[in-house]
Amino acid sequence: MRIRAYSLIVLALVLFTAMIAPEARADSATSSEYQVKAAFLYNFIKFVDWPKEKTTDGNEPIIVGIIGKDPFGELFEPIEDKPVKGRKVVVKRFKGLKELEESREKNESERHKQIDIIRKCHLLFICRSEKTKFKETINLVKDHSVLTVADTRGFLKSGGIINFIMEGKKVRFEISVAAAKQAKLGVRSQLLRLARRIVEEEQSNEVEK
Amino acid sequence: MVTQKKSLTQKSIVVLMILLVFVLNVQLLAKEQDSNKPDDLFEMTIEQLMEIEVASTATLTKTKPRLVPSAMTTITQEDIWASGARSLYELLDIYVPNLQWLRHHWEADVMGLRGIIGDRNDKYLLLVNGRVMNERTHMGGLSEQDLVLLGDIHHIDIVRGPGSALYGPGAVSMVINIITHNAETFEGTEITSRLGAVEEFYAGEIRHGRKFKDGDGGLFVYAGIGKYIGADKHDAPQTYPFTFPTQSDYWWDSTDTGPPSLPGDGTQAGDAMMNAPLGNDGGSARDLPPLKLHIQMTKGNWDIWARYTRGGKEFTPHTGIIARHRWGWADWNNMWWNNDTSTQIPWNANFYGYQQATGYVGYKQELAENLNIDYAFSYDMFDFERFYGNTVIDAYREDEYYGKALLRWQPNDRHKIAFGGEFSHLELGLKNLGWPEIDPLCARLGAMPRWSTNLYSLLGEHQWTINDKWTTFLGARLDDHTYTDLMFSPHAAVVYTPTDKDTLKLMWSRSVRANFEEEMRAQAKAGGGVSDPEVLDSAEIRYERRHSKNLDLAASLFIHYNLQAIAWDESTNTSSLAGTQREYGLELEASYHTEKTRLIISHGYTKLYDFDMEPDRMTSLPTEPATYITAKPYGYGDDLTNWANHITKLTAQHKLNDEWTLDASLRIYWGFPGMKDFDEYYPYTTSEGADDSSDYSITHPVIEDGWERAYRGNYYLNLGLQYKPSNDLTIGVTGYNLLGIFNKDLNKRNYVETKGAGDFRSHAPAVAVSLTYKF
Repeated sequence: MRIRAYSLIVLALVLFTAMIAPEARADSATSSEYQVKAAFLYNFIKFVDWPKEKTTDGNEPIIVGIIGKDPFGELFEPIEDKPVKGRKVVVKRFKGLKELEESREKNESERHKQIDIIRKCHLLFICRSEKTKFKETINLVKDHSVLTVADTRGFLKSGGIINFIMEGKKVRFEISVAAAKQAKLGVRSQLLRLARRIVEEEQSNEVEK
Repeated sequence: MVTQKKSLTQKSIVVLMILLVFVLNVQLLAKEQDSNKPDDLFEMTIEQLMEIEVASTATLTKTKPRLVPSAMTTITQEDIWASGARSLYELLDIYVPNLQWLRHHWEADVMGLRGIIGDRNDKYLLLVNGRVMNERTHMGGLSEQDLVLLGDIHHIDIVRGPGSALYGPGAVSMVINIITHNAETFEGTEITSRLGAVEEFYAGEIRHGRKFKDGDGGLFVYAGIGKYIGADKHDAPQTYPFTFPTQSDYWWDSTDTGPPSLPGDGTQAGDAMMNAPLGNDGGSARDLPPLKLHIQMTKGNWDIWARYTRGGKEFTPHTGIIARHRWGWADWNNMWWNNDTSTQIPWNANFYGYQQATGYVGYKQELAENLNIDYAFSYDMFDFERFYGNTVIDAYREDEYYGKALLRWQPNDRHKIAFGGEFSHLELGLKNLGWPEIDPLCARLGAMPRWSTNLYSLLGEHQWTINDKWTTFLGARLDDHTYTDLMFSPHAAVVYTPTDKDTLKLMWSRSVRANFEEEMRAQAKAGGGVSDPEVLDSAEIRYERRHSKNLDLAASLFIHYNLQAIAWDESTNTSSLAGTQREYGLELEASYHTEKTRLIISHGYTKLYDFDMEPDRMTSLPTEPATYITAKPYGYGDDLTNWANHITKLTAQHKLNDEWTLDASLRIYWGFPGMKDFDEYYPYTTSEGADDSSDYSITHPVIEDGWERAYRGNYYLNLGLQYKPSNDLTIGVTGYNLLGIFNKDLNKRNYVETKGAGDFRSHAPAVAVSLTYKF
């Protein structure tokens, strides 16, 4: 069989055009998947209780943080008009820990400021780009009652509280009650009931569903 | 020239169906207007969110589901359970738009898509967890398609349309990728028991999954065993279009002490054949229980699995071997019921059987955040045997050693690149492990020598996100086989997403299919050099609309403008181009789903618009035609022989409450006009087994004048009821092919390549119950 010349020319032209084209907006890996996950995060807020020190001012918004390479884009926009527990929800985005470390040399005070804001989050979604920094990121917030969530295998093992998993085409989640207790968070039974897996005591006593 | 006539009734029904779909869609659209906001998901509860499905992908580079540059159908484990399907054939027939399933008299059942169907399943690839499972010597996609054991399957992705650029030679009509459960998707222990009546079968399955203590990875184990007795000739009748003679000197059963008789003695044309030792429909080969075992371990970046399947079915005899016609009989010594003990064959039915064992190791090496390499190594053993006309035709084993490395690199947010290579080494003509007393032999070569072939492949894909609205995919694959020249399969696609709801895809590709190993070997031995592959150039435009969270719509318009069909030439022992097939088609799909109801409807239309037969492959009567794709070159009609131009599929599910669920499916093949044309041109059946060439002379057609029943529509209606009294227990009952209760012709399943036999066999109206308990 002969390879037709026009096929090769088309291939070369498109590759060439692709390489010299201008930069475009970042794209998420699977947006409809993250639409669903965004809605899950919004629901998690309803079923998790934060300690009083984290909710003293009833007018303060609930802060959802996203650290690392953000896969959600503008998917959280609709929740700006949808208060939870009588409070507004605000989404804040943060650079990954590696980038924060790199910025230390340039501006130490800016770095501290960023870390303070991260610690003020009620819920922190730690993106896949932070996989190698899970433990450091969790340690950064573990004493500040932050509900840590990710969608990466091994997240609970690193000390995270909720991890999304995929069962075929459906989104499921697993919860570490041990990590939630350590963060002084109360996870309501309605949420626990739906979890695919529950880690009761630091990975040693799992309840299979 | 025979003029193609379509009944007014058929046309009217098609128009009505299309109108119905349209009206239904419009009504649903009207109802859904208010629930069509992008923030719908935030109004949902967690329980509702857990029911939402997220589409998977079919590209080398990762992409958004809506950007996948192909028409794709995904069948989930819930769909499998709801369908009550008793085989992969039945499951795919229920759910995949424009997929058609036909019988064969001396090969396994065949499936095709968009008018592309062969006499064997070599025009599509069957994958398990991404690994090709096709048999290469003679059959193509074969293993596990007949098995009633489906409990290990998590979901199946069917890439509809050509896909050689991604998957390699053979992905001409489609790619069926079975994704099994693993510890991430299944935890606990579950047993399933199924029992079928009328079409009798028994099946038991157990599956167990557990995560490792550290939460990283786990183990999944599955085992299934069955017994498939099938449906007898009363419930699944076989109908021939000619009258059997009533006198003979022979008894078909040596123990028969009555007057001389013959199979089908006196059976009138069109009557169900009862006076013959006709095997059961769907019965297992050699009465061996179907088996399936699967074990899979995931840990870190490792994915390791092993799989074993065993199956096979009996054939229903072809006219050419069960009886000649009213002017005589086939070679008596070649009849399958005339069991000659000297052959040491203890079975008196035709059958094919197989067993396949596969080991697979996959590893993902993460070199950087945006750079990784997927490695795969695999060994596969495939045993195949076929017994037909009191003769062992095939009995051999083939072993494959396979390796793959694929680099995935995302240099920036706009570009994603995948590039890699594959290597496959095949050892052929090995001794059949399941039947070691038979020396290796196959249809084309007879006694098989041991030989080997290699396939070297390079593949790559580039995905370019130009902006929010435009994405392009460009990929290509080069394959070099021992017995072919270099095969090149490029594909290109542009995806346009003008709004959040609308997606437009424009796709072009070239796909290739190398011939079977036995034929390429035979050709090389005969001095015919390397074999030409089959080539398909095609284009497709597809529109998808997520109208609301409840309603998805899609339409595909495709054209196969250059399908270079190859066919075997007995006289030269070579394979060569028989003709160029050209066809176009349209597929419409609508899916409506709420918390309690799900309704999916599709309609496929495929139309041959040209077939250029190669001049040196043209034949004249009564010589058997070189190809059975269409009788158009001979002036008989302008349709595909083995294809229903129109096919409609409907599945519905409604949850009555938390415990009870109703399921229904309806498939309608709207008639086979091209098959009728072919049988009108060549109504003589094959010369196979003939002892007198006058038996198929031009003056003695086999098929009765005015024979129509084989070419009318097929209608399969299944109804099911599921009862789930607790989270641990599910009980289901399914009624199959229920319209056959009223008229068995409605459930007929036609034969591919009847060679002018014009016969058919009906599926039995049947029932099955199932029970699943989770510990």
